[in-house]
Amino acid sequence: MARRLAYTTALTTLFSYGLLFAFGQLRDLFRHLLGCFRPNKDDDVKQGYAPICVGLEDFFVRRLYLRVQDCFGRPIASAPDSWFDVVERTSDDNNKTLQRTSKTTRCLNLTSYNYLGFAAADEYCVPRVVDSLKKYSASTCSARVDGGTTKLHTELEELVARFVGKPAAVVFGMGYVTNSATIPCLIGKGGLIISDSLNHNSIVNGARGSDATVRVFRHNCPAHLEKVLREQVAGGQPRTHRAWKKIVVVVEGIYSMEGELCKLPEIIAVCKKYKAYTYLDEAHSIGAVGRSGRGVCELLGVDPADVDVMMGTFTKSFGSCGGYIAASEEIVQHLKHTCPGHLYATSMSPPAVQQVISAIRVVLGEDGSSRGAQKLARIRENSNFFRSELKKMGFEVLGDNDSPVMPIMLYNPAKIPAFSRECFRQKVAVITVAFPVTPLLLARARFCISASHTREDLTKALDVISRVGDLVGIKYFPAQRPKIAEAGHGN
Amino acid sequence: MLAISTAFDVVERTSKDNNKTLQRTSNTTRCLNLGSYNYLGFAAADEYCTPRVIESLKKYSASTCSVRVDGGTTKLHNELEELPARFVGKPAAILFGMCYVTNSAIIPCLIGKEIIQHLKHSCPPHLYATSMSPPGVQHVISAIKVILGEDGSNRGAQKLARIRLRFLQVRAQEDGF
Repeated sequence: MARRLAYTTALTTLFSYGLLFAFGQLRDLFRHLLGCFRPNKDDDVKQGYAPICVGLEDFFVRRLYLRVQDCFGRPIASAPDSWFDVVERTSDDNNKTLQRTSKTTRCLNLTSYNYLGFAAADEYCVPRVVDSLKKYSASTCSARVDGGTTKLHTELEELVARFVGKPAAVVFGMGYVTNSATIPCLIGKGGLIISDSLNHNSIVNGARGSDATVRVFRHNCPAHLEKVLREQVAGGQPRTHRAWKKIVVVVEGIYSMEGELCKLPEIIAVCKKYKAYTYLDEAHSIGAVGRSGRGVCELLGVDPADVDVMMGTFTKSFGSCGGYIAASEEIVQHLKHTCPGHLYATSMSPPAVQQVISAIRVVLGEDGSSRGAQKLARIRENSNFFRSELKKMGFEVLGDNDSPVMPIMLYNPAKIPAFSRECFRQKVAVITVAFPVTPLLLARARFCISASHTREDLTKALDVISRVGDLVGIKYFPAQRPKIAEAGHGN
Repeated sequence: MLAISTAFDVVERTSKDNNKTLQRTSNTTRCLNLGSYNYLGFAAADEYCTPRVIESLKKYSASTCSVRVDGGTTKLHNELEELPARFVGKPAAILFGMCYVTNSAIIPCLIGKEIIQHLKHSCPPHLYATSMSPPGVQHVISAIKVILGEDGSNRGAQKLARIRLRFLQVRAQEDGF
């Protein structure tokens, strides 16, 4: 069900952006006029050439983003556990520049992708990581195919394949290139990529770099996917109308800006019908959903054999860095021979590899305790509790049950810094997300729930968010109109 | 006569299935190296570079294990960005830890259909990739200083002259045929 935006909210949001835009243009006009009377570095632009890095995006940064940049990129001074230390910053030029102070504020952390709580010290993981640091050093400083493969890398690839239920896996040191450098190796000219409209930038860049034709289907809509597939299969390649060499449908397990679970069973059924391959990005879902943390396949009852390529990252649930591709032996061998992320990039740091190995062992229960199962149960309980309470309070909450990512809609640009600053003042750290990461009218705040949050933590957070929500005016579905509230929630 | 080019030890391999698979042996052969991009000879130990690299290894460790915008920028990274800018004659420079992505991730940031999506500070290898290894950075700093003559000797000028002279020798031999 499509999200319905109230007309008054849309009008006030457009008016606000229009006002900011006009005011910014006015300031730019004055800057340009005053600039005529004194030389500046703008004169470096060659006559007749288009600028390389100015334009609307530069305007956006100068006139819109800088005004509120204190709400973004806040440095922290401790591990991102359920509570962390946020560094305080000051500005004496209206946020044009920010200076760090040595003071910190202890805040409740609703911002980190710390789904299972492995971002902080863990009794099982840390001793093993320290040992691997002593044995293997901090970095191989080599590519995988040079001197950058240790026993740990091999062990992790076997463990990941077993964990997600595929025959083989390859790991990369950088989550972003797991997509952006892999997709061009799997499909090329004469191929077709059908991508969900809200896929991550790394997927978009990988698809563009592949030379395949790219088509987009409506977000998480299997019916529209089938329509696109039918049209493309019937029409064939552009101009020649020959059959596509191969078709790959790319989806994500949890969409990080929506908190929404992929409709995977329906999408798999459509792909099988039209003989398209599936590529599933589980960057957020692996470790965070499913009874034993194996992601959306486990949660939604899909056999991993039905998904051709499974991608994930270690940066969220496992408290480390890098990512993996799990697939058939043939695909993994092909990637190891052709993927620049494997051939040229520094391999994943051995202690970081050990961290993932240890975290997966905890999740699998192979550490000799039930802490993994407890973590998984707690994140599910915490997520569903927090989501239901937010809805009761009248917020417009996106996403699905069981998802630890919980966006609430803000819409108006003035509410973005207001919500962020007021929550920060009351020692709750939140992330606000706006254009260009989201569409212009759909700014939001996003909460990420962790297994390390206690019920008391969540209750305190809800209390603060409720008060700030009243103050800022973002309870778009107040409790006294329950029917409208129910209809407006969509999923 | 000029010194001979760098030689190296090549590992010998055997195959029992007509090269379908190869096995490494412990035998090596000392060979004249015409295969490496070792134009100025910095791929081997160097009297100026190596001690400084070892010092930076002790001081900064083998890797920052962080991205540039997190904890991955050291004084060496800042120094190295100033040095290539001066060396090539441009106002500024930015460095990446992987030469492949210097092209593959930069061009999408400079031009594109939806250029608004590529803010100039949204370049993936700067935001997400591990920063260049500090000893690697120090090695480049030292090598550039040798070339610029800032190591207090004229070895850089000699290296540049020598690589050019060797090319002329080859041309002379060809003419001789």
